Amino acid sequence: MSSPLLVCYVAVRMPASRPLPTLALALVPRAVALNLALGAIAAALKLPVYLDSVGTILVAALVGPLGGVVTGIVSNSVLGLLVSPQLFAFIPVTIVIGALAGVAARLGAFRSIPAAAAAGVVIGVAAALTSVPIVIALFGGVTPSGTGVITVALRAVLGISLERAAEIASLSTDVLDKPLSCVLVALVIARLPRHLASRLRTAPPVRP
Amino acid sequence: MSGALDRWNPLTPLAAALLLVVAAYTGPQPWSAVAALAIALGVATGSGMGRRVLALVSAVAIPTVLLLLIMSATSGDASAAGAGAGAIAIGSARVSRAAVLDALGVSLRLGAAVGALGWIVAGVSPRRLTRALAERGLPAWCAYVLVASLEAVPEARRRAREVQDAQRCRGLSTGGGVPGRLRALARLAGPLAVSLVTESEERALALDARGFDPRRRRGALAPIADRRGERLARAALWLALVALLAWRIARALRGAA
Amino acid sequence: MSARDRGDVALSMRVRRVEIGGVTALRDVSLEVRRGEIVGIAGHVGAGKTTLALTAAGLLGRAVPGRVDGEVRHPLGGSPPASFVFANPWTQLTELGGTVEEEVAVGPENQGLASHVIRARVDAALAAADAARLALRAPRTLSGGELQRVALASALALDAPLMVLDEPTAQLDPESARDLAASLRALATRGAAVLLVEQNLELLATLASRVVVLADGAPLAEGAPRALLERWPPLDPRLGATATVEAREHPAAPAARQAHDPLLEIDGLDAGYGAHEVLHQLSLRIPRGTACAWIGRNGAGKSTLARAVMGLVPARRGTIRVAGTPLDGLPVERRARHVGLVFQDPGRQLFSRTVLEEAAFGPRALGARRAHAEEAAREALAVVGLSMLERSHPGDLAPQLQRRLSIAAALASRPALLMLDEPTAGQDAEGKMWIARALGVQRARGAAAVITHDLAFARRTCERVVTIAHGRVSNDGAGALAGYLKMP
Repeated sequence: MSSPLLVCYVAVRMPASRPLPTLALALVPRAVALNLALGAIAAALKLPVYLDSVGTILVAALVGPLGGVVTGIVSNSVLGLLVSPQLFAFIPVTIVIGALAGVAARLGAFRSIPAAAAAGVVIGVAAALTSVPIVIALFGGVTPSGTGVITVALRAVLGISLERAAEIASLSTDVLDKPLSCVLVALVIARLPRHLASRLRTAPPVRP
Repeated sequence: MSGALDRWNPLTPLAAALLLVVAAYTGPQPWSAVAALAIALGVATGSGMGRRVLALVSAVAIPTVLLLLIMSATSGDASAAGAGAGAIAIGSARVSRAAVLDALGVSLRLGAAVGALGWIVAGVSPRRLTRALAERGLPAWCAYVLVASLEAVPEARRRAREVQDAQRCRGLSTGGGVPGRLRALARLAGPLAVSLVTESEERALALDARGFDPRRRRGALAPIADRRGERLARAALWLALVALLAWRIARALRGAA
Repeated sequence: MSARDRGDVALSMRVRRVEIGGVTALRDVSLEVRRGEIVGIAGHVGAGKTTLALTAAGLLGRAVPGRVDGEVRHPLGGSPPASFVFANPWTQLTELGGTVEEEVAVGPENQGLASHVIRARVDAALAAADAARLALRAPRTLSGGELQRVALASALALDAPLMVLDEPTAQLDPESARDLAASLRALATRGAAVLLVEQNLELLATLASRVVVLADGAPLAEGAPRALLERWPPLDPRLGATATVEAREHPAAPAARQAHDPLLEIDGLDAGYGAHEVLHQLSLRIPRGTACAWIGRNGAGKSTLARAVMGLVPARRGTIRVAGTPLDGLPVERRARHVGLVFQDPGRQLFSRTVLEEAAFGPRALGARRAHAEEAAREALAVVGLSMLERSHPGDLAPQLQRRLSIAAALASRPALLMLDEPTAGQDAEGKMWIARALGVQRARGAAAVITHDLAFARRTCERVVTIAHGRVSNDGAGALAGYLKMP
């Protein structure tokens, strides 16, 4: 828990010294809305993914880790306010996703589909490993969701420990969801108006 | 949007809710959790949002307790713990008494936390909450991303449907095998993402045109009332919260030593 | 110039060059705007009008980075010195306000003013923009015309000496555009200094005291708008008030054949959303070889009709046939073989790396091989005048060109019936000419339906005009247009 808290602190303090430009600021709400809107599309296509961090990864890739972290925090805060408060608990996971995606972008991960997919695997593993302690501490190991059901089934069939079962269940969803999300982000970036992508990276801070 | 708790400054229910959450998790179990849940539901009912908060609580607490019980019944924990005197039979499976208490404890605490925060979800307009936080020094950019996100969500959902309509009109099929559906996903999610990112430019220009400064303290058309009595009560709530945390940390440190 | 006159100057700019992203977007512009006058800026798409507007308002170098070589002064000061109204009614909301009055208050709040000052500013601005009755509405429930009044009020609330408007009426229906123009005229009479970018020269002529015409990033002409209109009717071939190319370059089928060969037949159609029925017992025929305009007020059911034909809105009762094929029960993607629908906002569908690929998407989705699809796409791009941009990135095109691309993309699938929703909104005369051409080609292949508020365009390009009111065809035939014009 301490590392997400630290990232959270940095995310809140940093803008005071180096603010996000208005262009990046204006992007964040739309990315949050994208996180919340894509689930419906995935459901319409009957694909077993949430795609609820595509916006977070997109901002991280376009603006940098700070933008990704902010988008992640806001995204889950909005979910907590609009849907159910228990989702506040998963803010650390979105922070890890935003930060890692930003780092991956700096390494050029979104310039090709295979690289994006690979980055997605790493992000998926990290997200799963971050969520497991939260799930165990607050939910006794099972969230009321598909992941929780998988955890129960894994323990019943394989007889493994709760921690291991929760890890495998988390990984099984995240390791599909995050690579797909990252590939989508790579496709989107390749198709953005060219002037915009460069502007997002180079826009000057509001106050020089 | 008006909320059931609008006669309070939004920070007051927030402080009370956070205090309940902390109390439910740090106080002596299970009574703290039971008390916190009772207070959460009682206050919610008294303010006319009982049904909504109860729905939020049940949606998380009931499936959690059920899943936990099924897990202990099927995972062999019961036999490992020794299906002794305290074991409880559920059908053909047996669950140890400790496992039942554990499951109840987890979902009680969860229910209490969701119930308390449910006041905010059901009774406080997010816009008012953000305003109140901004008046207490939340930077303008933070307030902006929060409020604008809440506004952008319904718009993006509508646009997602429009994209689906537009693409189907061009013959895009949303059925078929997985590869086909993945390609369709790109064609549906892609234009939505691109149009949202593209739109940010106009939104940013509009913010600039109105003299928005991410770090400057903004004025308020209608500042949120904050009575003296309420401020004092809130200070007491924060104090209690800090005291509770401090006590808990001190106890943990003593235990470790 | 007298001393008093000089004290009235709200904008004085002498700009040699404005560079955006390494490209010169504007050069050699000198401009002065005084209190109480409206100065107009006209020009074709891509002429540099928006760049000029942003430069004049001092907004370059922030969200849109740019380098200004020259001098832009706002002698009357102000913080900010200029307010701005954008073309798009929806995206210029800051989203910080849950109600109209909160949205209008955003500017004064940003200025850090006291509550009572903000309240006074907001009330005065709402009144001046004729939007007081909207004060407590949620912005996202308003129409485009209402939102532009909110945008005007938001600009006024900043209390800046200069107001810059970038095609504020481009996305409005004619009535809302007239109302907004009246508000601007009243503002100028009361002493505001206004710089107005506007494609509609006729509208400018009733508002502006002077007009600067831009072409390819530099001033082409300057003077009184009446004089410019009279002396030089099509100022620039691409700016002419009337398009010279007729849509009917493809001759319509003989009238006798038309009557017996309906391409679209709708009988007794009931359709709507959920419990809300929009179309009641609607019957309509469009003969092969014709273009038909669907006109009527907002909410009359025009778009719902198009969506029902396409299958996006379920028909509860009635039949729809296109070229003899009954569409009832077919899913949208199957109807796409027979019918095409081009939505108002092209941004809802663009997702290709090149313009050609985008135009070829429809035929590909319908099963055509790549070579065939690209051939159809090239042909369609030629119809709307985008052949030269075939290799360009769709996202880099101006919105007006994106609209033409979305029309080409629909044409490429060769549907028997093509329906276009407000195709001319925001288009200049050149754009309308290309769209008229697309209608001509479509007419030769089957039939076209055009939902439009642009009556001049309807008259020029469609042989039939159908008025839709309260979910029914209220007037079909030659009298429809006259009837619509007389509607209260």
